[in-house]
Amino acid sequence: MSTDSWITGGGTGRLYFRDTRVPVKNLVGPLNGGFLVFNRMMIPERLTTAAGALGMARCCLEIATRYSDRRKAFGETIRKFEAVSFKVADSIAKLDAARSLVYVTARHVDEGFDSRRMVSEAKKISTEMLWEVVNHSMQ
Amino acid sequence: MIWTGTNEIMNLLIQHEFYGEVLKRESNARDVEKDANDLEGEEEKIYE
Repeated sequence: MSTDSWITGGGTGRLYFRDTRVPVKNLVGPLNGGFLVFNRMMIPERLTTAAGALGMARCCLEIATRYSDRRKAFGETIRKFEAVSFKVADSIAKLDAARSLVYVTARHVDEGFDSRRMVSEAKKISTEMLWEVVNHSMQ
Repeated sequence: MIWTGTNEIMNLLIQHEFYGEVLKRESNARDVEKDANDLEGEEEKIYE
C-alpha cells in the first residue's frame, strides 16, 4: 500500500494485489465481505468530506466578508455594492443550507438508519457549495 | 412575494445580518492581507 502524496494524512492509499485469484464470476459481494466493509466505511468518509467543506467555506467567506468591509471603490466600502454583498448573501445562504443537510445526515447516521443516499447528497451538496463560496470569495 | 418580500429583499436581510455577525467578533484567522507586497499602498486599495 502506498500513500498518495497529495493527501498525506488523509488515510487514503493504493492497494496492490499480487497472486490474486478472483472469479466466481468476479465477486464484489460477500465471500470475505470486503465490499460491505467498503460500503460501510464510505459513510464516515463522505460525511467527513462534507463536514470539512463547511469549515473551509466558512473561513473563506469570513475573510472575504471582512475584506469587503475595508476595501473602497468610488468612495464606498465595496460591501455597499450589491454585486459584492449579494454574493456574500448567496454564499452564506448556501453554506447554511449545506450545513443543515450535513447535520441532518449525521443525525440519521447516528440513529443507525441506512444513510447511503443522504450521505452522498451531503457530500455532493457540501463540496459543490464550497467550490461556489470559494469562487465568490476570490472575486 | 408581496407579503414575504422578494428574494432580493432576502439577500439584503441576509447580508446585513451576516456582516453584523462577522464584524462584531475579532477574527482569529491569519490576516492574509499582510501577504500583499505593498500593504500600505493606498493606490492598490482605493478605486475612485
